[in-house]
Amino acid sequence: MSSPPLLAEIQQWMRWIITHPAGVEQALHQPPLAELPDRFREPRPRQLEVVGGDSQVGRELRLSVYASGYFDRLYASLQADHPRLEEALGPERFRQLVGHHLLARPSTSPSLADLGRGLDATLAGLPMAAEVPWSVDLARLERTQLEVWLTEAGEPAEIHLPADADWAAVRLGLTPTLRLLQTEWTVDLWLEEGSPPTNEPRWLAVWRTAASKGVVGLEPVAWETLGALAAGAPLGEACARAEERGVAPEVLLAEFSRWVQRGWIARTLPAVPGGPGA
Amino acid sequence: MTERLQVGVGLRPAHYAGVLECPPDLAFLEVISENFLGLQSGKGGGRPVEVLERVRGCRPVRLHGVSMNIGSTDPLRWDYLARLRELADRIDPDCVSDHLCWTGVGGENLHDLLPLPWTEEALAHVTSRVHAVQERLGRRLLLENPSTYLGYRHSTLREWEFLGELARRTGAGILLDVNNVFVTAENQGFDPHLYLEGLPREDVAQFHLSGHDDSGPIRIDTHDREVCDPVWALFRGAVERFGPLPTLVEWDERLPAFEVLLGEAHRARAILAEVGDVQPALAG
Repeated sequence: MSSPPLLAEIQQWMRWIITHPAGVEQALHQPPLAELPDRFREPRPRQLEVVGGDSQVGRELRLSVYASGYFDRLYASLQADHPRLEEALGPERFRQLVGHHLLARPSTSPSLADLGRGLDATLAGLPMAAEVPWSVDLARLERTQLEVWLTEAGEPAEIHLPADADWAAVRLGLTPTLRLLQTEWTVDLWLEEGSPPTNEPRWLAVWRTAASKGVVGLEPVAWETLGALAAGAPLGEACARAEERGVAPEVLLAEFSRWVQRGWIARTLPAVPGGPGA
Repeated sequence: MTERLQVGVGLRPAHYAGVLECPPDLAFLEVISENFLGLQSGKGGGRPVEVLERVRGCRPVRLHGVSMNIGSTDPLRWDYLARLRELADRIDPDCVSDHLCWTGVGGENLHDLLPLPWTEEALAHVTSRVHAVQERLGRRLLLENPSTYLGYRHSTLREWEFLGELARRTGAGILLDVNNVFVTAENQGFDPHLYLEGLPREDVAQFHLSGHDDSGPIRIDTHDREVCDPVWALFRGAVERFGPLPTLVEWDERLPAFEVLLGEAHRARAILAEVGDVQPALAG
C-alpha cells in the first residue's frame, strides 16, 4: 500500500491546477504549453486521485470551481482598482491584461490591494499599450491614487518656524499622502473632464488628506521644487533652484501657501547637522 | 435570565457613511482585516483605518481575516501577523478570526479559502501554527469552517472532528459558519446535523450566516443574497446546541440596501431570543 501524499505535495499540485491559465481540463489532458513560465510545469506525483468526486459531480468540475474562482476574484479586484483603465482599454483587452498580469506577477501579498503593483509594466509589454498609447500613464495614475488612499496620513500638519529661524536652512516634511507623478499624456484631464488625452507631458501631484483627495497639474518648476523638498533639500536651496529657472519670489510664495492649504506641507524638520545655517 | 443578544453585520465600504451618520441597532460590526492593513510597501492602513477608528467609536468591531494561510506548508508570514497585531492593538476588536484553510503556497497567494485534507499530518501542522499565531497576536484566535467544493480521499478524520480537536489542542475558538456547514454538507453528501453534533459545545464562540448560490451542480458560497430557509433551520439547531452566541450576517457581493441586511440580522436575533430563551436587547 502506498503512503498517503504529503500536505505540501497536495498544495503544490492544487496551486498548479487552480492557477493554470489554460483551465483544469486542458492542464490535465493536453501537453504542457511551452510558452508558460516554469511554475506551470505539473508537480509530480499527480494528485488528481486524491481529490474526491462522485458520479454526480466529478473531481474535474470540483477543481474548476476553484480555478474559475481564482481568476474571477483577482480580475474583479483589479477591475475595482482600475475602473477607468478598463473603460479605456475595453472589457476584452482588460481581461487579457489581467491574464498576462497574473502570469507575470502572481500575487505574493496577503492583501489584494497589492495585486495591481506593476500592472503598468505588464501593460507596457503588450501590443494593446500601442493601440491605446495613453493607457500605461492611466494605469500609473490610478495606481498612484490607490496608493495615496492606502497610505497613513501621519500626524496632523504642524508648521512651526520661529521668527529668528534661518529660513534657508529649514527643511520641510511633506505629507506621506502626496505623490508626484509625471505622465506623457494628459490622462488626468481625461479622468477629471473627459477630454480626450493628448500627447503632452504633465507634472502631477496626487494626494489626499482626511477630508479631501485630488489630482492636480503643476508647472514643471513647482513640481521639481516639491520633489527637491521631498528629497530633503533645505528651503533656501529649493527656492534658489526655482529662481534660477525664472520663477519670481512672489509666485513661489503663492505656490507655497497653496501647498500649505492643501495639506501637502506637514511640518518643519530639524536642520541637518553641518548643513546650511547649522 | 436577561442576556444581551449580540447580532452584527459585515461592514463594507458602501455602508460606512450611513453607519457613521446613524449607527444601526446592532451589537457589533465585523470587517475584513486585510482591507485595513494597507500596502505591503507602506505603513498603516491609510484612509480605511481612519474610517474604521470612527466606526469603532460607535460600535464594537470584530476583525475577520482571509489571508492568514494557517493551513499552508509555507512559513507563517510574520510581516502579516505584525500588521494584524498592530491593527488589533489600534482598533481593540472584540475578537480576531480567520479560516481553517490554506490560501497559497510557494510564496503565491491565491486569495481563496482552499480545503485541507483532514489528516493527522495536517492537524499537527495547523496546531503548531495556531499556537504560534496566538502567541504573536497575544490573543485567542477564532477559526471558521469554510465552504468546500471538494474533499480528499485520504482524509482520516471528519471535518468537525478535526476542528474540535484543533480547538482542544490550541485553545482557539470555533467560528461556526452555519451556511458553510450546509454548503459543504450538500457538496460532499453528509448530514449537516452530524457536524453540529460532533463539535464540542464549549469551543464554539460565534456564528456566521450568509447566502449561497444553489443554481448549479455545486453550491457556491457567494455571500450575495439572503440566507436560505434550510440554513435558517440549521441555525436554529446550532443555537439549540451551542446557545445564543454572537451572530453575524455577511453580505459581500451585489450589496443590497443596508435595511435588507438589518432585516436578516433581526431575523437572526429573533431566533436567538426564541431558542435561547433570552430577552432581545438593543445595542448599547
